[in-house]
Amino acid sequence: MSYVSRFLEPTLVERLNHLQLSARRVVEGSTIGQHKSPVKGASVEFRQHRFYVPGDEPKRLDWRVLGRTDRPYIKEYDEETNLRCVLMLDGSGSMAYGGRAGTKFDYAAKLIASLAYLMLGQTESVGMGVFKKRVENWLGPHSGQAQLSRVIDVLERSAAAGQSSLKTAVHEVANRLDRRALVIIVSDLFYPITEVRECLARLGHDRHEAILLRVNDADELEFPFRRWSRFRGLEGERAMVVEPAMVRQAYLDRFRAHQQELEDGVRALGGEFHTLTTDKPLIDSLTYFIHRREGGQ
Amino acid sequence: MFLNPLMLAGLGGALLPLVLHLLSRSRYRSVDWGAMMFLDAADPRDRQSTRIKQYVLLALRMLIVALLAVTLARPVASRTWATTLAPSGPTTAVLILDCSASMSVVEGGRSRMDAARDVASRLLAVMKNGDRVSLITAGLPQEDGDLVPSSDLRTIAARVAATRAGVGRADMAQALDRAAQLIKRYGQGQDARIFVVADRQASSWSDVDASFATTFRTGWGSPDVSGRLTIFPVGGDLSDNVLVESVHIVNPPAIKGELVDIDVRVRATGKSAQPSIPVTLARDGRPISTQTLSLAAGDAATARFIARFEQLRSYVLTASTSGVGMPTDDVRQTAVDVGEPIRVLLVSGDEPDAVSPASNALAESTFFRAAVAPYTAAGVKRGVDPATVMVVRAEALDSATIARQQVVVLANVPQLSSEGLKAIEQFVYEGGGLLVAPGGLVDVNAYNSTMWRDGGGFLPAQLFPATPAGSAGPTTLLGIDLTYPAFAFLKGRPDPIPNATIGRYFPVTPRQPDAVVPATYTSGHPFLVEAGWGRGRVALLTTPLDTDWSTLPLSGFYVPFVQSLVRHLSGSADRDLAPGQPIITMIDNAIAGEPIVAMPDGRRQTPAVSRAGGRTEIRFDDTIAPGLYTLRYRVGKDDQRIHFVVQSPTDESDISPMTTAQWDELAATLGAARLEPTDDAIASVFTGARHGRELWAPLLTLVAVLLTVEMLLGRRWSAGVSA
Repeated sequence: MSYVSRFLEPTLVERLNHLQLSARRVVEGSTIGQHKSPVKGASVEFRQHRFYVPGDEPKRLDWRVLGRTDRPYIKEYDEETNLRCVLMLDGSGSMAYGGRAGTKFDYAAKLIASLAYLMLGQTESVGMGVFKKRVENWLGPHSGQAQLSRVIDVLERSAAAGQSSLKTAVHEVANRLDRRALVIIVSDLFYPITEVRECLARLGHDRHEAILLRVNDADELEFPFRRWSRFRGLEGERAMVVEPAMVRQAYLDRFRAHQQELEDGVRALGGEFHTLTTDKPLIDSLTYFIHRREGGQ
Repeated sequence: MFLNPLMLAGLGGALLPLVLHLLSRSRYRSVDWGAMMFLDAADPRDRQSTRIKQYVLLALRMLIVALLAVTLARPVASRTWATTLAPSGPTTAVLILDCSASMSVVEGGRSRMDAARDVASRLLAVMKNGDRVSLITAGLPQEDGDLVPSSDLRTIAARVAATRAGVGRADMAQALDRAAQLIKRYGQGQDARIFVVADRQASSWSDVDASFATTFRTGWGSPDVSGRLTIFPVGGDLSDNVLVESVHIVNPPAIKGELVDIDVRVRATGKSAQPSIPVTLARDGRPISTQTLSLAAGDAATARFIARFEQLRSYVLTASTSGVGMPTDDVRQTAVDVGEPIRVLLVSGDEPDAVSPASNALAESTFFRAAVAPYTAAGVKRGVDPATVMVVRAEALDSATIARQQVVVLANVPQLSSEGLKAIEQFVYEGGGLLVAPGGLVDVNAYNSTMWRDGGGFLPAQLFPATPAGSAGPTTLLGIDLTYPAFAFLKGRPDPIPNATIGRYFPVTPRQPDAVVPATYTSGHPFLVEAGWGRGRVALLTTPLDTDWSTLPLSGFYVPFVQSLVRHLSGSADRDLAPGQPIITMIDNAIAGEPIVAMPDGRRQTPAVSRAGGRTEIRFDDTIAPGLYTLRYRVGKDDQRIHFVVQSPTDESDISPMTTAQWDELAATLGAARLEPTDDAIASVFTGARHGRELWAPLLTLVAVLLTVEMLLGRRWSAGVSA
């Protein structure tokens, strides 16, 4: 099964390959930097050799290969993967909004695919679920390239529509995870703050690491409409006829307040919060995210 | 009150923001939106607040448009609240009412004067108690009582109602100057105003230019007269007019029983030709005949009438034409005194034996008598001679002989005796006419020493010895001034130069500067010189009256020339006067009782009378108003009546209206406002004047403030909207 799709185009893959090295920090930053690994390098089953990079522990060098080839390689084992990563994609109707740069759902799906590609490339286990009112198309965490194909397959079959419940989805995922994991939620997060905080609290209680990646369209940040408009809710909300100029300030005030509360709430509960906008190239947003993760170490 | 009420139609524009609002609401676009929680999450109070903001902005925009419309309509504060806001003292106003002849023009069944009175009355009606008004009647004799500002507005209104269009011109420059002086004298420190109610005639304003404006402002006492001088034009733009420009006897005086030529000159002003204009001449109100003239635009033509006057009295000739344009100049009159044939005394220096034509058939007296008394000279009675001629020899001349003569002719008189000289001098001084016709017998030195006296005598030119016979060659007449009364008979002739040869003549040097030379020889020397002396006239003919030196007596020129010259020298009294020119008449006999002058307006006044030497002089000065004046007096038991006509000026007859550009220039020059006299304009201008200014300025400021508020609120309530 090929993992090349509209969510993981060759040009994106090529760019992602340049991020491979740094991408390791996505996982390590949260597992090693803040929490001790419960496995502590137990080597159960040899997996592969990998070229030494600065930062690797010297004791993990394969001295035999070094002696024969004069090249430093690291021996890696399957059990060395000490993290499971679960990617949660918001499939609610609001994610279907898109301006000139495309829908938020497409952008988020590409982001999910890219993260999966990067982390699977680092031999991590990646799980994934698209949630609406409940988690749909759940993939349990697994490693290997086959998992990437399954992720992409799920993304291809998913579409943004209807209402969603973050609280229900998070609880459902937490129940399914028997080991601690890194949970990355990709959503526009148009949920009440209390609901988000409750979700984070649940994940924290289960000792999961949480990262919230908020995806917004530029229109949602600026509300640039000028003519009288009838706004129809993508999740079945009551339509409203307004003069944009008159409601713009109130909208922006509420939006920014919500954003601030999100940031404060997430950080207070030990999570990470990042905002991405669809008008920025995905690779740039991803690079920004990874570098922020590096900076967090 | 609004000065430009039409602009109030713009109030409808206030609905424009509402319409746009509703249109925008009804033509919204649909947006499928995800972040509804931030739109929909607003609590009811927020939604209410947003709605209120929308309505506030909408109301502001409607108010701005409405206020703009009201501002453009130029509102003026009503008296009530203007008084409340800015109580002020009384107004001193000068009302200039155009009463010129052009105000008699009737347009649309109403005369301009009626319209002007109506405007003036309405103007007075909006004034308040305590205001004072002076009335200047431009074009009419000014009543001094009207000039002093009066707070009795009812009396002023009555005066306005009683005014009538005159027959003269309105000099607006003079009226404004007078008004400015009144303001300076009576209106200092008060709300001073000048109102002009006039028709649109351009000639009324001909003297108002930039230099006048400077004088006017100085006279006003304030360089800033802007907004305090208001002109209300009345009437329409009619420009076509036909007037009787003149009516006069061609060759006065009129002689009893003689056929008299009378010329009536008619002119068409304006832009239209007048192809068929009837002209009627009447004598003492009875028509003589009617002729029809065709006039090009701006052109004049003359109709000649012939009439005979059978009585020795004063007649009134009335020429009238159709009622095109201004009615007051459709009629013009002239007064004609009809007299006996002119009494002429010919003093001959060439009468050898006795005063008998038969004894000297070729003497000057023979030719002269044949010219001025042809029927008598010929011994027939088929007609009326213009003159009776008495001939005396020079040495027989004395004061008794000369008494009661009208014209004396010195025909080839060698020199006058001292008694004769005194008699001639006295005769001319008292108004007699003298014709000096020297010939071969004349002593040039004696003439110069006794009659010329280095310019101090009655002779109008210094004589020089006559040109020698044959040496200089014969000459003829060349330069003839056809405006000279004695040559008027030559008008219209294809060749006015007489076919005559003058062999000899006396070169002369005319007296400067009063002597006139109406005709010269080819050589350039004067043929005829005339000058006044005392009340009389003296003419010097530089060649004899007979055929000794010229062939003039044998030409067709001689008879009418001599007759015309005698008529001219007879000094017939001119009964046509200019406005203000006094009536002066001398009566040979003492009059009984008080003379009376009947004036054009029907009033009767007593003239001044002075008596000297058995003669009576009557003088009457109140002749400002054009029209017919009739002097009545009694000599013995006989009632005498003499007519005088004060002629109206013709410059008023050009009723061409002001152009828009001329109005604009006038308004700019004077700092005046020109307003069509609607009720609103009259009331508002006066109110505005009393209380300083109109309301457009504060309203415009309010509009600007509201615009700023609207922009600020709009920006605040819709902050950050990208362009």
